[in-house]
Amino acid sequence: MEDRTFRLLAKHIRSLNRHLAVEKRSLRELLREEKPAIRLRDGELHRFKRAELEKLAKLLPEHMHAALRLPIYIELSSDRFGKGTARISGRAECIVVARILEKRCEGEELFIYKPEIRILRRELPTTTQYMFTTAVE
Amino acid sequence: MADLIEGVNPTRMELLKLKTKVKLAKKGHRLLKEKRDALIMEFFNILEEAKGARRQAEARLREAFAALILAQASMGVVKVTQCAYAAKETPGIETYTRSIMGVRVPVLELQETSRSVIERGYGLADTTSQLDEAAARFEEALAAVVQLAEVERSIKLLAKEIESTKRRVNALENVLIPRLEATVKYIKMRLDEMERENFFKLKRIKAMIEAR
Repeated sequence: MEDRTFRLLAKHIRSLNRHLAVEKRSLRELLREEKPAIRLRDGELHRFKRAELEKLAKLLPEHMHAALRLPIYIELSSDRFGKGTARISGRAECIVVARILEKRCEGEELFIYKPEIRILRRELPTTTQYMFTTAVE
Repeated sequence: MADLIEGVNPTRMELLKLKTKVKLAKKGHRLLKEKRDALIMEFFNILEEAKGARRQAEARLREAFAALILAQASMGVVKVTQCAYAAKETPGIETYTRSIMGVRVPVLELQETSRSVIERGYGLADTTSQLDEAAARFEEALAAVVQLAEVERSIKLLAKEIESTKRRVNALENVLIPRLEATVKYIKMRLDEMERENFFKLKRIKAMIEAR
């Protein structure tokens, strides 16, 4: 009985990140498509809203469109960053998020907090995704 | 004190296995709690959107029905019904899904929101401007209703996922982890007890040998 419970728990942990993309795609590539979408690890297709892609294109200089890989991951890890803190990784990703949140962005990492996550998700509901990570023991 | 796991042998091997399980359970609990919090945040985001969308849909429908009554008053109910039958089909809705932490929520997009008088399909000679106005208002209302449908379905799906995640978190927090920790404590106590027993046994044997 206990073993079955643990098998189920391990399965739940493994499936926490099954909504992430098999492969991220660049903004430039997605803007050219009529129905911009990516394939997820669970086999499903995730469509991006065109209006959102256009909003991102306006926020970023054109030469950086190829560097912005979508979806942008909002990395949550309470044992590494603390509760309610998330990390955004990547130069282009940080610039876009910082512009939306009216923050300063230095380097390739940006830490954002719960109220900011809420704003970010409201502004970019299809082009951002949550990612759950944990510290390696 | 929480219940113990049944049928556990108080051995070192079992203790090691249980310690690994406690670690896994705590890790799972932390991650699921994060997922639950993120889902609740999404839920409130969509709920806010829903409030606006419902208000907008109701306002648009009220305006549309008011315009329809005016059109019926100026042209007659029968003529308006005839025009409705003559009108071309309503614009198509593109449906696809997006994923919020594994929850597939629908996205509904109207292919065209407003049409010109000619595109609607009814004749212009014997219709009034009130009918055009009513049609335009209904087109606006349709867009608002489609948005409301998307938001309300998303709320239902998210609520369901929050419920199941919450149940898992609570089961881990209140049942599984306390039970595992109690069993670990019990095995440790039993092993210590056995060690003390052996030590005492050896002392007795030593004393008996020395007494001979």
